[in-house]
Amino acid sequence: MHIPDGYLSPATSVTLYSMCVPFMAKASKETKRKLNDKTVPLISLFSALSFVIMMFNVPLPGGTTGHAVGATITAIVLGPWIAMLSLTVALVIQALFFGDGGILALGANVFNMVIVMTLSGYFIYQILDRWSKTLVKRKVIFSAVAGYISINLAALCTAVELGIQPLLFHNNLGQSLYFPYGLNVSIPSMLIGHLTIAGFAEALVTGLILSWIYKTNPGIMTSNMNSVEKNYPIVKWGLIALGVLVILSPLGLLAPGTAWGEWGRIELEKLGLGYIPQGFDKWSNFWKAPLSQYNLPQSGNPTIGYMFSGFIGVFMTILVLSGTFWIMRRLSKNNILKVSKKPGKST
Amino acid sequence: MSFLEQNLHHITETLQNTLYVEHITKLPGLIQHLDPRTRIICFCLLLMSVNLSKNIVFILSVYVFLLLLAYASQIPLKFFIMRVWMFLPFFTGIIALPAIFNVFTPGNALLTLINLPNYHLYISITQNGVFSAAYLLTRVATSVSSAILLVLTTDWIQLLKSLERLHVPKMFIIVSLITYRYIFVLLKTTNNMLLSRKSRMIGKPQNQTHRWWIGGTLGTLFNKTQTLSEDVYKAMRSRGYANQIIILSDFHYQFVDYVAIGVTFTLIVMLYFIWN
Repeated sequence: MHIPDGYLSPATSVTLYSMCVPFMAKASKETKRKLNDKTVPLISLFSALSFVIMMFNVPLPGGTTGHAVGATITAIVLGPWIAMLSLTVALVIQALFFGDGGILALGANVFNMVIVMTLSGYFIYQILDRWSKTLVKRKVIFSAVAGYISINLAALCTAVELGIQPLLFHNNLGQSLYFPYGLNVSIPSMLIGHLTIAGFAEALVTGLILSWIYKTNPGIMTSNMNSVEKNYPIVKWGLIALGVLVILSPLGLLAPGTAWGEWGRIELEKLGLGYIPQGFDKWSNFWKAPLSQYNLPQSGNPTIGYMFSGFIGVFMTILVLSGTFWIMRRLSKNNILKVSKKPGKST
Repeated sequence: MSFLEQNLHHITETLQNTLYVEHITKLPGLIQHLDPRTRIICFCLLLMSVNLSKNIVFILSVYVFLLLLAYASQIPLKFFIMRVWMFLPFFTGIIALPAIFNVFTPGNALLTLINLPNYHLYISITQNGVFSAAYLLTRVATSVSSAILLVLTTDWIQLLKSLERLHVPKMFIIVSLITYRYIFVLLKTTNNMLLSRKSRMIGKPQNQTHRWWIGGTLGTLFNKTQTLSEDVYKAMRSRGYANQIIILSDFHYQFVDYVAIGVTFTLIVMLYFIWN
């Protein structure tokens, strides 16, 4: 899953670098709080371990072999923040010294394989762990499931980053400058490989290591290293991620063309479509949006209009989401948000 | 090859390769004479220009420049070229190949392969497709070559020290230094575990057994790492480590460094204007 240099445009690379920054800042703050002056030796040693795990060839059912990332198991045992730092250092060394993955693309690789995998792996495991009832066998199975899902989420992110390249970056002759395939090719081809091979490698490594740790060294699971702070503010972090996206959204102004599948009538004609489907005219006039074309009716400046529409859109989304959560909370006593309030129970 | 041998082979190869690279970084070549910071700055300039460029000829000229630099730095050219082109066709080549057909990249046909109008089957190699694939391949090859050139001329300690001088956080530098050291400790431990397993093995074990071994090996490694990190911490404390990091370095820019940065920059600008 390591993206080499040359696949992503510098604009995408810089965007992904900046998306990593808040997570890295949070991770180093949390790690320092938890480990104090043990930070340096512990992170170093577990980075080295992550590096070795990534090198390992895992024999899979059916005779093939695959490589695992090992992000999920590290996150389950050490907590997402320590795991995040360790894996990042391992990836940096791989990129700088062993030429595995690009240097401009490092931000993308860290985002996919470290941030997405550790956070998703850890929280999926924590949610499933409520049903494990301290049975080790169940914990092992749940950890394997978390590993399988998290590596596929990472693969999906990679596919999306690659797939948007031909859409955004091509020269005036229509030749794509970076990765040549669109989302319709990149997503299936990435996911087929990961749903069938790499997913099982990750699941196997996660489950087997966890079962071994429970057999030989269960102390590490109760050492509180893997607990995250109480009242873990998942909502706050979601909002920060959203904020980053809002700040980055002016990048959309740089992108020529329209999002795939979101054409209006005029764009459809421009695309060379000889006829316009009959239903199109009927339905496109059905609802006139107040901020049509992401522009304010009165303001003459399209950039301000675009940004303003963006903020309105985000505001509306937050309003609708919080309304939905409020209703969900009211409806069920066992609401899902409770999970985030008591993580870290590890036995 | 069984998984044991595969992993043994892979690990030994990595160790061997690292030793060979360290040998090259000590050779008295052109790049080795420059300050490591200069190398990093020039490398970044080249990498950015290659990735921002919209012209294949520009990218290829940078590649030729890299080859000249490698030759001047006494890097065996065959090794330098093979290190990129041994793997590139298998990874990027396979990805780039389908893009040349009209199925993925429509455009003017250069060569029609299959044309069966009755079956609505038409496959051709398109101009846009060939260019798209060429963009990807040349860009990846040149980017990877520039990174390899940097690594082949600068050893890890020099690289990290100069990154620290270029204001990368000290915490990151010190963690990377210790990590790099312990990667080899852990690789050696893993190698020994696999080797001892192999030397006690009779017959051909099942795949299932292999998987249990993987769990055992990596699980043991996990536990060992935890113990080792405690040991390293104690060793650091007993030698006076108090959460403060001081990195000594004796780098200083010379006239030749400014020349090198100037030459690289001018060359990029010149190439840009020639080919656009």
